[in-house]
Amino acid sequence: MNELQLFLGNIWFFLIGLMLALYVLLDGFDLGVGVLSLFAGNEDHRGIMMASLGSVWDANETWLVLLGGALFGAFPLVYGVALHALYIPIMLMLFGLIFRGVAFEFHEYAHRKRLWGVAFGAGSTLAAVSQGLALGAVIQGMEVNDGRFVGGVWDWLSPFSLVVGVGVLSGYTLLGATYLIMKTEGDIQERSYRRARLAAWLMLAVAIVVTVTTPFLHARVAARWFSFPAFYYITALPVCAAVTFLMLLRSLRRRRESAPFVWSLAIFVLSFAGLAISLYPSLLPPSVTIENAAASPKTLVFMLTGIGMLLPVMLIYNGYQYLVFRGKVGQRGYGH
Amino acid sequence: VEMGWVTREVGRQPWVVEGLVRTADAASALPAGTVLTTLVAYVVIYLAVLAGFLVFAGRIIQRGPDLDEPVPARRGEPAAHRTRARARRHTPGVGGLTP
Repeated sequence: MNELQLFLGNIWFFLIGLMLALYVLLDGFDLGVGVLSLFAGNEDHRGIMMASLGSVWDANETWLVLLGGALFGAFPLVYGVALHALYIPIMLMLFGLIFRGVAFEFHEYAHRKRLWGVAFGAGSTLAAVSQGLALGAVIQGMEVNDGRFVGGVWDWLSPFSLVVGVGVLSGYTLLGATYLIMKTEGDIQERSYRRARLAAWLMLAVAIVVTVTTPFLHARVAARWFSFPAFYYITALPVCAAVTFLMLLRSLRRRRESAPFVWSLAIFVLSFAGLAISLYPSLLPPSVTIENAAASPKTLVFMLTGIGMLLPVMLIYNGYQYLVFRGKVGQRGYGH
Repeated sequence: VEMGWVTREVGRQPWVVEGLVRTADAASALPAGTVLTTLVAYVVIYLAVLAGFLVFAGRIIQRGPDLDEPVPARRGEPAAHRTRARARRHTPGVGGLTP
């Protein structure tokens, strides 16, 4: 391990973090709308909910594909260990994504719309919970020996990962509900206000449990949090998150249309930053770090050239589609 | 395309990366039963999705193009000025599917 490799590894840690954050934010609201569609009441409402995502959902999931590719190239050890240790939740996530993906297309042409409506909602829920379980398992840590995962196929399943699963599910539901507040009107919007509040409280409860538990799981995390003066910087994050949470509740109470979504995104960004700061330089705690998992400098530079061209293009077309499909969604998609 | 892919994958055996990595060394240490279960699940799900595709694609083809669809207006241009064929391409369906 030389300095160059460590430097490049850090760049890739940041880039992969960025991709993961973008994926979680974007597919988060997307899957959240799917979860909420289970409680849509009727097929018309469900149709509107699905139409609100019609233009953006597949672009959102592109970040997951990019993330997988980047991880495979930059940190092959992480890719190998994580996909082995998290095999079952990742497979469940993919099955969930398959069902919700085809449901977008099939729901429109089906005679029994209910069937595909349920496939959409259940698939989204399964994907959200699986991602939470996988995240919980990563935070909790996995046993790695000589570059191989040495635990069992069910190691990811624990009370802690279940709690994180509930947290991710409620967090995505919050993003979905606040997105619907922004994109719809009338009955769906009214219900979304209530559901956003419920999801927000549930997410807060889980966030507190996870924040309190994590230092006990890893001595390294505790050492970082409770060292001075780092303690003061790190405390800024939960304080910001708490303020953001209050602003979210306030915007919901005042029936703002866009602000709740923005505050929810901010909560996610803060939580994500907190997690990244706590775990850095670990990629898969306790033993897999940037240092021992990074690919060779040659590979990392080669990939950097590629991503340097790709990332701006992706950001531009992602931004552009939100610009084109701004505004409220109607019964038949976006009004012309 | 699928057959070409199968030929290529089978033809390369026992290497997963020609001359560098053997398939046997590249395989994960996951229990075979777990991998078999997910493989079966994939086959079942893909067959179900394929069946759905055939049903819905058949339905769309049978219905044919909808020539009565109103022509969407372009910015600053009355709707009727556009040709029908051109307008159809720009009509997004619900769920992003443009039949």
